[in-house]
Formats: sequence, C-alpha cells, structure tokens
Amino acid sequence: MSGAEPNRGPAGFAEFVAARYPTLVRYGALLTGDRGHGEDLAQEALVKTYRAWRKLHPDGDAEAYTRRVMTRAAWRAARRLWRREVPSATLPEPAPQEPYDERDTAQLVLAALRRLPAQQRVVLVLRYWGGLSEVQIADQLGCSTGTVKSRASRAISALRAEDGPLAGAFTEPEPEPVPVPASTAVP
Amino acid sequence: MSERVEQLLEEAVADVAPRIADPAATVVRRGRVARFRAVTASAVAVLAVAGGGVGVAARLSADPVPPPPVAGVLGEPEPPRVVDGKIVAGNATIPVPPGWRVVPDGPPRCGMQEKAVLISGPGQRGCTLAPIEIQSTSAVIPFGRAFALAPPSPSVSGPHPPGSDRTFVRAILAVEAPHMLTLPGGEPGWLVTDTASERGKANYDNTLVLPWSQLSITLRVDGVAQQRFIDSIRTTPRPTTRLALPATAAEAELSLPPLKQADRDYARSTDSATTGAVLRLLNRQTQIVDNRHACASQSQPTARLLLRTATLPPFPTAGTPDASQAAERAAAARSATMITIALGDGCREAVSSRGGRVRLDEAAYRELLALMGIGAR
Repeated sequence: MSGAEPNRGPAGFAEFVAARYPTLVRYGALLTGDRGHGEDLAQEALVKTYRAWRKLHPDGDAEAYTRRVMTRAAWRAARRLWRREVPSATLPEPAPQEPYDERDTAQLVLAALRRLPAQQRVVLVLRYWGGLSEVQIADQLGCSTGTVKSRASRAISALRAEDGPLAGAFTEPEPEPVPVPASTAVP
Repeated sequence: MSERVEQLLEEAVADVAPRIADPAATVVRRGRVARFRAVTASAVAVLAVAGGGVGVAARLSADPVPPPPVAGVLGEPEPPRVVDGKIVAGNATIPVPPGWRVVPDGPPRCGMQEKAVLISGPGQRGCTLAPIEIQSTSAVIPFGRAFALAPPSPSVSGPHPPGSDRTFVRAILAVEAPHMLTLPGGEPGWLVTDTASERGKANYDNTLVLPWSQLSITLRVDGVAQQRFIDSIRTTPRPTTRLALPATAAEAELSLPPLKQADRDYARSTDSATTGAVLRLLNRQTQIVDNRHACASQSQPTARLLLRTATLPPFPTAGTPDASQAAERAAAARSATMITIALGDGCREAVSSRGGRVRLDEAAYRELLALMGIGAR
C-alpha cells in the first residue's frame, strides 16, 4: 500500500498539508503583514516541501522545514517580492470603527506589520511569536546577532511610537486588585 | 513586554483563515510544473552551450511582457463556511451582523428566516430565504437588470466600421452594466442597484457579486444596511494581473450607460473579425491596477462587455426549454467572461470576471466603441 493519490502527492503529504496549512497561513500572514501574501508564501514553501518530501517524510520535520523556507523567503523579500511597499516613518492611523467589526486591534497590528520593513517584520515575528533567541534567529537567517538586535529594536520602536496606532496597545493593563483575606492582612 | 507583543501578534492572525481549505492538489500541481521547468531550463542551458548560442537561452528566458492569462471555464467554488464567527467564502471574510445567526440552506428551514445570513454552496440553493443570502456559485454572470430596448429602425441602425462587411446583430433585450465598487482589500464588487437608490423603497432586493470569489450575495435589507454590510466585508484577493480573457470569442455584447436606446447604448456582434479585434484591444492593456490602487466606486457610470466563447442559444419560441436546451444555455452562460469598465474622469479601470484589472484610457475606450459599431458619445 502506497497510500498516495495521483493528484495529492506522495504518501503523507496531503495529510500534512491538511493538518498544518491553516497554521502556516497564519505564520505567513505575520511574516508578510498580509493575509493574501501570507497564503501565497505558505503555498510557495509547500511546493518546496513537496519536492523535498522524500527526505522529510517520515523521519524529518516537514513543518520546521516549511517554516524555514517561508522565513528565508520573507527575509529575502526585503529586496524583492514586497519591494513596492514603502516603509513609512509614521504608522497608519487607526481605521474608523466599522460596523460589525470586533477585530480592530488585529487589523491595526497587521497594518502596522505591513508598514515595517520586511527584515524588521521577520525578526519581530521570529523573536516574539516564534520565541527564538537572537542567536537562533541569526543562525536561521544567516546574519549577525547585531543585525537581529537592531532590526528587533527598530521594529518595537516603530510599533510603540507615541503617535503610532499601537501605542495604547502596548500599555500593560492595570492589575486587578486582589482581595486579601482578613487573616493575612497586615495591620 | 515580550508577552504583550506575542499576544498582539497572536490576536492579529487569530481569525486568519486560508482561502483554500485543502491546497494539496494545487501544491502538487505547482510542484510538478516547477520540476518540469527546472528540467526544461537545464535542457535549454545544455543546448545553448552546445550550440554556442547563449543568446538563444537569454531570448527564451527573458520575456519582457508576459502573455495575458487565458480564461478557462471556472470550476466549482467551495461553499462558504464559518470560521471564528465570520463567514469565509472565496477571498472574502464577512462578519455576521451582531445579533444575527448563520443558517445553511435546507428543507427544515423553508421560508423567510429573520435576522439570519443564509449560506449555500454551488447548486445547493433551496427553499430558505433570508435578509442576507451568500451563495458561492460558478454562475455569477450574467446578472443585472434587463431592459427591453426599442428595436432600431433601419435609418438609425448605427455606423458600421468603415469598409467592413461585418454582421452586427442588434438585440432588443439588453442587460444593464452593474455598479462597480472596490471592497476593502481590493476585490471588485458588482451591484445591480447602487445602495443609495435602495433607500426608502418598499421592497429591497439587491445583488452584490464578487466575481473573483465566485460569490453572489442577495441583500433584502434597506440601502443603509446594505451599505453597512458591504463596508464590513474584508477581502484578500490574489495579486492583480492583466485581464483574463478567453482565447477566442464567438460573441461580444456591449452595454453602455444609460441603457435606453438600442443603437446608441447597446451592440452585439457575432462577427469573428470584430470579436477578435476586441480581444486584441483588451490584451494590449497592460497598465495593471493592483489591489491597493483600485478605485472604482458605485457613483461612477459603468459599461459592460460580455464575451462568450459559445453563442447563447435562443429561447424556444414556444413552450419552455427542455433539459438539453437548458443545459446548452447554462454551458454557454458559464463560458461567458464579463468585463466591467468604470467610466468617468477620476478612475478608469476595467475588471474581468475571470481575474485581472487594468486602466482603460479614453483612447482605448473609444476604440472599443468604434469596434462594436457605436459612434462617438
């Protein structure tokens, strides 16, 4: 039994795609700041995964490979795919409240990500969403840790800028007062 | 702070859902194409070196103007589905109005459902009605308001292109061009009636079509609510291309605003030289309008050009069409490609129902009118 269907690739590939595609699309949306580009990026990477499937299945880590392809493509995109984006010193104004719209913060974050230069965006996502260390990021992107630090710092500064739409979003919520039991109250 | 950033990023993509539910087959097909190209490129390189003709390889690989996409018959789209409380269909994400519910079409719910958004897939339309109905369908066109135009008299049959013996067929029943709009994210939308005209009516019934998403949305709410609903839609269309057109067209049909007079506002041609010239004219338009710069709005007048690869069979003169006639008409309708052209000074763009959006300048528009035998307007 091969388990493969003629149009759905070798054994295990279709199942891998079905299981991990939504997550990869979300990762792509963060790397590009755009849902549509994110899905395109995920599909491009999956094409490479498909071509390398014999080496990745069943003993390799296909998802890690796909993510690495996406990351490197997004990093290189600073010079190519999304070049037409013009980085701006000021982040976009918050969109007016839309009817039925309950996800304005999400849209603001995506809009803010889009405004970041691609390399800053990639480092920000790997550092804060992927939880990688600066050394791991530098290793994955083939650059120095200094580059990683500077890109991450600039990205955070841009997102936190006082006149930026996310300035308020970075404010930590006030902690809720915790009632203290009478027996432990300090006089 | 790290946790806050992580939380914001998580939130940003929490409701991001793929446009394609299961892309395995697409990925495999693209992978095979990539492999074939790699093999072909290697073979070309070997040939070029063997022949000493490096220039040959360069000519083969460097094509400054890619050929326009050729429109095929669209496949069946996936049915709308609900993801994180929003309706995802084609390239569109559509919030459910607060207090409303989503209902699938089906016998248990026949009749009008109040405060409900009805979703249905291709061929699934049943007996349920709702104020908002969203259906994915490969038959989004032709649609629009049909007008019975006065038959032209021989003396006003309109100018034919000079020196041509082309056959122009003047029709009496003509379909009006829809109102064009640009949805957030850049996907075009076509409305039968502009929402401003839908205010204050006794019975509201409008249709919004998202051709690239193969979606037809029926709106039975007043014009204000229609506009609010339209404004809430978010789209993520693919990067724009040149107009996707059929390779050949058996029939071309042009409706201009205001659609009132047969000769002046409407023309239909089955002449292959004319339809070929129209296709060549559209293929020459290379100023692509990307999703960020699309500008068409409801307030603009629009023209409608319909290209059919097969001639639409006439309705039978007596009785109702039998199954084979109906199937033939349906197949001809599915073969149609509709081009809408936003007119006016501020924003001139043409959109194909099969994908693609370009600027269409005044000279090109005039040429189109002349080709179709409609004089200067």
